[in-house]
Amino acid sequence: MKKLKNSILQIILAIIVILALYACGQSQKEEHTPSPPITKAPPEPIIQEKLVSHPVTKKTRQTYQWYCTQCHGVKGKGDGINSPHVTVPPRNHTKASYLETRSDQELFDAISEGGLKIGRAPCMPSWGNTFDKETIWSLVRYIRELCKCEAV
Amino acid sequence: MKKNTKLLFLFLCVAFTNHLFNTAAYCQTIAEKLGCLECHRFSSSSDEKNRTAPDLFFAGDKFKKKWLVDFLQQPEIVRPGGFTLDPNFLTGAKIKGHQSVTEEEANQLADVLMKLTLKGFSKGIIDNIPLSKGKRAKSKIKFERTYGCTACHQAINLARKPRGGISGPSFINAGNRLQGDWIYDKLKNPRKYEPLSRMPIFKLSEEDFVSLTKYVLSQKKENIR
Ligand code: HEC
Ligand code: HEC
Ligand code: HEC
Repeated sequence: MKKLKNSILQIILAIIVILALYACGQSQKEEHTPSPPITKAPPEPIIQEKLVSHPVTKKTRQTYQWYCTQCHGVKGKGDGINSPHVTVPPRNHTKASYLETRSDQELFDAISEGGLKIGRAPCMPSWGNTFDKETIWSLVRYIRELCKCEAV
Repeated sequence: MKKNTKLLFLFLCVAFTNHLFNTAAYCQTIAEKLGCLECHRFSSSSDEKNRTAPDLFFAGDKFKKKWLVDFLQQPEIVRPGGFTLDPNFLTGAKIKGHQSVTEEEANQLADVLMKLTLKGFSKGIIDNIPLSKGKRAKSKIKFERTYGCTACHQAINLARKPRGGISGPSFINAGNRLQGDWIYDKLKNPRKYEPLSRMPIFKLSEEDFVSLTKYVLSQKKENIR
């Protein structure tokens, strides 16, 4: 009986250890390779319309500076004060070669839903309850300004 | 003479807090003398500008008294990344060591601080029953993975070492420091206690609000190896 209890405990422990490896903020640095770009159908016109109607304003920049910089750094280079302490480094928003591979909708979802929901690291929190959609679209546009790039 | 006036103020402070006056006027005296008000707000009506330290006008809802008494004598660093409103916060402001006071002053100040409470603050939502082992493991995953709290807050990991981001206050001693009901309310309404909060708003199930609160409460510095 005791033996059974012990082995159950061991299994639970093993599961916890495995899960913890995927957590955010653990000590061990994992090599992080972004998954290859997925070919998608050309963006629908509705997205084009959204881009035009959500320009980057002073408020957009302030929002980025207040919240996102904690991890992404004041210039968006992924070197914010939390960056040495998270398992997966915050994305460098000035890196065109990566951001070109992401559509605006994908960036929108990453900001709104957080990293975990879009198959990225959980250290990227979800901001969908903090900002309205308009603000999040304008943040997407601001990231496009930072990388000086568009989705290809 | 000086000591007597100090004691008199303390008496007035304790005597009137629950009665005629709002805490502010009398209770500020000892805090004022020791310079606390130069950085902290002990009343919500104090000047909003130039806040250089966390607000304390809800200290009685937020802190455990014993922690206050200890902290004021032997301060520990709570915000390794500095205070969020510090102009150098984002470029790596390092927190300066906090001023320390004598045992007697610490006790007096803790009495004063524990009287600073908000009207209508709900107590008794978080009971004292710790999470079961299984629930604790689940909550740990929620804290570290599902909601990514560790990206901004330090907590104790499986190897019993402090790990995590530094932009939010560290939780490695939160169980000794904070009251459960306050953590719960802060999580639900981050902007109520810091209008300029840098924390995301989380819309969680009631169960998750409670279990994350209890997970934070389980963090104590004695558990660090
Ligand atoms: C707590 C730290 C943290 C904060 C705060 C944060 N991020 Fe992130 N972010 C990350 C991390 C870590 C990644 C990398 C995720 C990965 O590559 O798996 C990331 C990735 C991203 C990505 C790229 C997603 C992808 O497709 O690879 C975008 C876009 C992004 N963040 C935008 C933002 C915006 C906008 C804000 C502010 C509203 C913000 N982030 C705030 C940590 C953070
Ligand atoms: C020079 C400015 C300054 C003065 C003066 C000062 N404090 Fe502080 N205090 C701070 C800062 C900054 C923090 C945050 C420290 C940290 O997070 O590690 C803090 C933290 C605290 C905390 C914990 C608050 C929290 O939310 O974690 C308490 C309680 C406190 N101080 C009480 C006092 C008292 C009582 C006095 C007077 C004896 C005082 N302080 C004087 C700057 C100051
Ligand atoms: C993007 C960074 C970030 C994330 C993610 C985050 N927080 Fe915070 N948190 C902060 C900051 C910054 C503060 C300091 C006060 C403020 O700005 O609201 C804070 C304050 C707190 C406090 C009050 C602590 C104190 O001593 O005053 C609690 C409790 C808290 N957070 C819990 C959580 C929990 C639980 C999660 C995950 C569900 C979480 N936080 C996720 C940044 C974050």
